[in-house]
Amino acid sequence: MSPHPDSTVVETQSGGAVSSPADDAAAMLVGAVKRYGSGRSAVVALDDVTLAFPAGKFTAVMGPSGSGKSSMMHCAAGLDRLTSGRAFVGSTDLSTLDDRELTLLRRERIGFVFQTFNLVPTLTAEENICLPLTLSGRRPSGEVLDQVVSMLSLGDRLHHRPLELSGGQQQRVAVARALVARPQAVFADEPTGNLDTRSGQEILGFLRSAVDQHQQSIVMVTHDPHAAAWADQVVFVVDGRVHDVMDGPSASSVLDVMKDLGR
Amino acid sequence: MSEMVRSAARSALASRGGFLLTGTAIALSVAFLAATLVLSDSMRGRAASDIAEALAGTDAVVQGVEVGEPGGGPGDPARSVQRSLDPDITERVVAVDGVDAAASQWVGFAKLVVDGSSVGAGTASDVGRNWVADPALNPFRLASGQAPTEVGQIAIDRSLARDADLAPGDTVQVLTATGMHDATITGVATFASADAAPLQRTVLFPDGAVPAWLDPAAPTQVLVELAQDADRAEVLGRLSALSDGQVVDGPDHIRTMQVAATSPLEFLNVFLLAFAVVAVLIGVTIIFNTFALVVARRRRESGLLRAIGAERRQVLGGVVIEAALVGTVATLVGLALGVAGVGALRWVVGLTGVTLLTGPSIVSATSIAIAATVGIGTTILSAWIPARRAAATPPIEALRESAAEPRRVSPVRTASGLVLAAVAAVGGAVAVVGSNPAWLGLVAAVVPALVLCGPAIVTASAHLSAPVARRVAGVRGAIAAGNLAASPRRSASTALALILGTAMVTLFAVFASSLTSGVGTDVREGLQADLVVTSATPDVSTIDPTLAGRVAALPGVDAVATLAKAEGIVAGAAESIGGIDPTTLAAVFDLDLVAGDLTDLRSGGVAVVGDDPTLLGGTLQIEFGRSTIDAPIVAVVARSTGGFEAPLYFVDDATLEASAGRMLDALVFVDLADGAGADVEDAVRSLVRGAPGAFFETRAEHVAGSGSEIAAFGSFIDGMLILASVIALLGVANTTALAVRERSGEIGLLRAVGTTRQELRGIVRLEMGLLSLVAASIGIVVAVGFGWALIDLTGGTEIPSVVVPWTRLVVTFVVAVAAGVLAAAWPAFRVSRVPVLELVARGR
Repeated sequence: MSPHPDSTVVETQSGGAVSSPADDAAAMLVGAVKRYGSGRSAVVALDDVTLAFPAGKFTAVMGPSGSGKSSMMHCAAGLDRLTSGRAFVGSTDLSTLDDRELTLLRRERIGFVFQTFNLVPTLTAEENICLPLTLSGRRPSGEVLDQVVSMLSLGDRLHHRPLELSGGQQQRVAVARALVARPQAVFADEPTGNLDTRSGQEILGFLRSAVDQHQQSIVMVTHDPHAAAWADQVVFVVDGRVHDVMDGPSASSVLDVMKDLGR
Repeated sequence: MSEMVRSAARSALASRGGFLLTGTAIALSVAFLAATLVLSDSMRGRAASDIAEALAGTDAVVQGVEVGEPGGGPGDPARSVQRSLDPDITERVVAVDGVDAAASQWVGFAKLVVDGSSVGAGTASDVGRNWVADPALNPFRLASGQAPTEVGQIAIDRSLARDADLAPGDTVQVLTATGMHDATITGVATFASADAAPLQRTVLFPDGAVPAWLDPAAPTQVLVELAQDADRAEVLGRLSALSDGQVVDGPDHIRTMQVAATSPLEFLNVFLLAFAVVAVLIGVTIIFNTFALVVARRRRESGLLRAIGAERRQVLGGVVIEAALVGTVATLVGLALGVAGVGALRWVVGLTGVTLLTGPSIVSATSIAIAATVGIGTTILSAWIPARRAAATPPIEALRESAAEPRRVSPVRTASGLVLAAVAAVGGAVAVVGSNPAWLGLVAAVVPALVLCGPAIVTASAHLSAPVARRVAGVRGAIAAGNLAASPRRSASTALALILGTAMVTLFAVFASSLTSGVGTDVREGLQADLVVTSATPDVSTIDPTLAGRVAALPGVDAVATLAKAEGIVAGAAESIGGIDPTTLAAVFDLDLVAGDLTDLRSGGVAVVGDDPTLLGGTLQIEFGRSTIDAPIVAVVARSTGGFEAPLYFVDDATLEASAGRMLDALVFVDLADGAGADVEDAVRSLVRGAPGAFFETRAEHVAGSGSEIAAFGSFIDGMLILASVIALLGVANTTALAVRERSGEIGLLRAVGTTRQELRGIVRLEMGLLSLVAASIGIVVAVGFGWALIDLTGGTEIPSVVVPWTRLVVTFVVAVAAGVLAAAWPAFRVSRVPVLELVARGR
């Protein structure tokens, strides 16, 4: 793993330090607050977070359960709306978009990998891979498709339906779908959470090589230090705030921080 | 147990949304059923009690022997002929020992005419009868004014008085078989305590008016009151010996009259009940779907319960109790709605022109019990089947499995369905080929066949439609088609509701169009006259016989011919016999002579409608009320004069009058001179306008209007369909809502990767559109096939050939598909508003 001197996680607790998107950020949160419910029972999931996910890098987001790491990813990816503050994908301010524009943005500029329910059961693997493209009326370039498919060794599985695939294969199809449109950012929510170690390692390897070979920007939420070790940097979230950022993580260094947090 | 009930109630309340739709479906089905039953009780009950009350004073009736068979309903009038009594029968009855009193009752056609137009429309018949002076024997009672005593005085029933806003002292006219008569109303009468006799409009006149107005040979009936101390059986025996007429004991007479009065309603009841059954079936599929999903969702939970040692019964009980609670509440609501909704149903039935009896609805315990049993019973059964299936699953499997139903369609199920379908097809084919209606019963197997094959059909059509859907709607089409096959059983039961609905509509449409065409073909091909005068009521002749002569006298009119009709018994069956002038008719209507010579009718011959020239030279016996004739067959014609109850035999008009009595004209054909202008047509038109009971039609109108009587029935069917389709739409909406909820994870994913709300709604609508498309096609194909076989076998001369109403079927098809798409719109809209993350979370 190479060092990444240019990694720029801007971190402020006071807000206002960064007010416009950095040029080299794939996605960014500025003064982001996410509150669920109201009054005394309100839960603050994000508490004034300002954070940029660098372009062309693999960022892992870690934190204990309930730390707000999933909320952070959902808001950054345009799946959920912030209570206040702003979220950017590239230079687009998500808070200015209506539901339709937000949907089109997800379709065209973002890739997703979820833990489960990743594929449409009625479509073949190939159709699932091309889904975001076909939804926007585009055809995937044969070259890119071949590249992705061969990278993920899905060649002989393209015409199978999800139910005919193993869990690892399904997740590889999901990764292929996220990558094939070459989106501005790929968001992965515990992509290896449901897989055995071997399949998990494979998936992480694919994500890593997409970053290395195609400068794909990837943000991955995980609670597994071994998974986080594949990333270029790790953002630790605690109680809705960014606690720490680690460059060039290893499984053991991540584990140390997590142990610290758990105390 | 009470613990179980409490927890069931809690969970029923918790899943409010799903049960609200289900409850509504049950409530609507029950309401429909209850309203139908109450309505039919009310119609029957009122008619029966009115008749019993009105005829209570009559101990016995002497009447002519009835030949032929009594009739069934609207469009199927009594197909029998009553033989005449002796003219002096009443005097002889009075003279019998033990008879206290007797009165002649003459009954005939009489139509009330006010200011030149007739009063009353619809299927009720216009009856004229003499006012019986003896109050004990008279079924009518004076409500106001005086009894008619002089010729030219009449009493009318209270519903006529109300409809035409008439009171004693008003002057009116009465159209009878002998023409138009001026009359003054002296009184308003009630039939027992009812405003009118069931399905009749009655004009009452004194005995003195009978010869001039009804031209009878003898009384229709003699009403007899026995002496208090007489031996009933003995007196009846003596009466029987009096003549070759028939003596009917009072209670039997009442029963016969009740049956006669309610038989047209029986016909309606069959239709109403058929719709109610469809409504209930649709309701059942909705309930079944809902509980199947409820059970599936609780499978894991019940698996856990079973794993820790709960008995099967304990797992099953909760769901069944829940169903019983939902079913009971919904049934109670449905019963209330149903009883309140009888008024709405009355309105729909009113579309047929059947004037329903006034008075309060009769809500019998039986109706309530039937509707309640059906409502609660079907709900429990619909819950019990999936619950049993769930309880039978080994606990470990239930814990492991996902909530979704298996995609695989059982081959055994499909195979048995195919066997049943084959049985149905073979049954239909054998019936048609062998002309044996008994085999047609096998066709009913098509319903279980559809139930069994449903999932396979749905899966197959999903596969077949996928490429088309993909081409039309891209990947969204592929998803919609795929979803169809994702839960084949549920899709199939939704489809079944739609299939039943469309099949029902189609069957009626095919029948109506075939009947209309059958009635209309002869007119279309044979009519040569420029103008036609028709009777106000299709199955009764109501044209003033002097009208034809007056029209003929107009300048510019070339030829006029009349058709009179009477019932006559031929070979034991009552048939319609036409009376014509063979020379004048030939100029205006081509009967398409096959053999013989029509002018020979003049010498007492008969023409037979048929295609067998060898009939010529034979002899035909026709028994009319007054006399029986043996007529030589002098002609065979291929066509009749068309319209409802078209004659199958023609005799000379003089012969008909001599044998059956004077009667009004059924049709008058008018041919204008060549080059006659619009002024001649207008002159005829105004002459006809002045003749109540007569309608003016041009040739085009008459051709188009032949069979239009059936159109009134069509609007009734349409009305029922609206009611039934509301329930069907609920079914589609319900299934869609369930399917959408079950697939929330997948839908969340679609939204996450960039499907807009609009596109998502499109997918859901497309899926239901495809399902409706398949269901409507099957429904239409099955119904056309069944209808074809049924008409081919039972249509007889009235429906000689099957006519498929293509336009109507296309409309039905389009409406069914549109309705399916529309019903899916609300759940589609709802799910599209749910935040993406919530959907993703629900799916987990």
